Amino acid sequence: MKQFAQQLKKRSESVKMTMEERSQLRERVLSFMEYHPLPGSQAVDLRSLAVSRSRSMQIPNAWLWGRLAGGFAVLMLIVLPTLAEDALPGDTLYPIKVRFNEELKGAFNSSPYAKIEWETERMERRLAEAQVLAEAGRLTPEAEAEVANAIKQHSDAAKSNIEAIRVSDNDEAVMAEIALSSALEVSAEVLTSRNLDSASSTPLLSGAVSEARASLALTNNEVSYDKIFSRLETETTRAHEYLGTLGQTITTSEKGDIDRRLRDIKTKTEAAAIMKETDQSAAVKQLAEALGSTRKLISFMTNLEVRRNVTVEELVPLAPTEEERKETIKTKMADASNWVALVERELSTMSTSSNDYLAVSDTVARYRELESEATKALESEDLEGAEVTAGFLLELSQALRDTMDGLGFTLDETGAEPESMQ
Amino acid sequence: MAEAQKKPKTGGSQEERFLEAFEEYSDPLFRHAAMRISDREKALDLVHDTFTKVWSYVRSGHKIDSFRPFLYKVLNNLIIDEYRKRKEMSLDSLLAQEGVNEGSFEELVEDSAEAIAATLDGRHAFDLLRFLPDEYREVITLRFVDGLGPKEIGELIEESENVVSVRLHRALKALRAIFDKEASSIHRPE
Repeated sequence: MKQFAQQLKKRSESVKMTMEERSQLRERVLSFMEYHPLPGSQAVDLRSLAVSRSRSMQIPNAWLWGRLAGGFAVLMLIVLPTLAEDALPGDTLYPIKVRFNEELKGAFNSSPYAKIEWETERMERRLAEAQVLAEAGRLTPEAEAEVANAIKQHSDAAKSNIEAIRVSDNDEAVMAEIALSSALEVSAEVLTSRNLDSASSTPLLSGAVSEARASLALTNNEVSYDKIFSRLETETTRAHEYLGTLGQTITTSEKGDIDRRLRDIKTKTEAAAIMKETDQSAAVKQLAEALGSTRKLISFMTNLEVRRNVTVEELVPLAPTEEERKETIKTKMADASNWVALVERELSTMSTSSNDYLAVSDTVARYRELESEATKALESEDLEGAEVTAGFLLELSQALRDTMDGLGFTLDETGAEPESMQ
Repeated sequence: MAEAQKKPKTGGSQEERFLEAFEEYSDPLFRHAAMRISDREKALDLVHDTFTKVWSYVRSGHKIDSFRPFLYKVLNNLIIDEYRKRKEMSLDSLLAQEGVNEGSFEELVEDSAEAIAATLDGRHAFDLLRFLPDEYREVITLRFVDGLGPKEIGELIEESENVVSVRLHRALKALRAIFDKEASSIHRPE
């Protein structure tokens, strides 16, 4: 029920008023209120009340200017930048946000890793802004092209920073690549999901993100295991902290999904520690994957636009546990076995010298061989092998059914068709 | 990016509280109306009428503690009125006739609503909602989009909680039936 609710709710979020419709509606309601004031009330300036409540992007009050006329420097350094924070492309304060606030913040970055993180964040911000505009129906092609360009610039900047540090610190470079790659993957997911609704589709942005991903060549075979392990520890701790403080911002089921994946990541980390003894590069690869997943989860928790457009499952698909895999294998085998039992029953009514009988019984024999292979694989914990063989078993049983069908036998079904047959 | 606005619940004049309610609920109310009647202009009108009606209520001296259930109730009644107006003209009336007479709890035992919902794709369901009669659309939207519980829905539409549960269940079943019908018309039989 939860997934259905989640999906329906998410889809329904595409139904909303445009900014224009909303302000028109507000206007109409305000007019009504003005014509029908509360009895005995002082003349209240409804407009300024309404404006201060709505999410207007302009500088709201004349008095603000008046009060700060004397402190012009204060205005320039504190007030405007603060007001600019929510600005979108096209707003008066947007250049302040992008060229002043963000550049200033960038100047305070110390470590190369921080610089790269900052460029990545700027890229994500551009995308988020574009999405807000797109939803309000205000994203013109020119604006979209500008944002696509900005995406390219920021991801290029991140990449050249990565190359710059690769010379002195390969490990840092690799981990920064993982971070950038995860951010791009998340953005790609969000864009894909949004583009399903053609009214708000943004092909230029998707193109820019794909290009950025394509030119990111991930080479993580030479990372130090210890470094990536400790980075993973830091990030998972961050993720847990976020999870703990989110309160009402995400739903209970989303929390559960995230928690489940964090536990998954912990399992993978422990497995990697064991793998390290025999195959270090495989262990590193596993940690790299875990790091990517962790960053995506953090992105989900900290980014409203992401939450609104993708589910946790879409972002970080869940690998089934061993138990779940075993269950699936057993179910497949049981289903196949049931069908084959029915086949055998009909088989016993056939003449043993006929060609049909020989063909079918040969196949059944082959089936039995495979069945015991699968059972052995299960017992020896070779899940991959068992999965492959179970797949064959199901196919074989289907083929046998079809054959018997073709020969004119109706296999007596005692229940609904088993799901694994579909 | 802007996060959900914090609502200062303490004090504030009636005008302020009303305007806050407008900022907070106009979007979800619009969403609900548009999903029920599939006519954007009309939906906007209904939301406008909802707020003006509630304002008139406030004006006539009543105090509203929580705007949300009140707004939803007014909107819902307006939607139902709208539906009654259209009834003669629309196909929906034929569908609606086939009985939203309430079943019983026994129905819920076989084939629970959970099980049915688990087989449905919520995204697809969104597209198929318009094929349902309004009584079904009402409960599905209130439950899954507006997030009201069965008890709250009961209070809103003035039915018992049991009736709401059964109706939800039947609505999901109807959705399932539409899905299946769609699917079978796409796949040619072998």
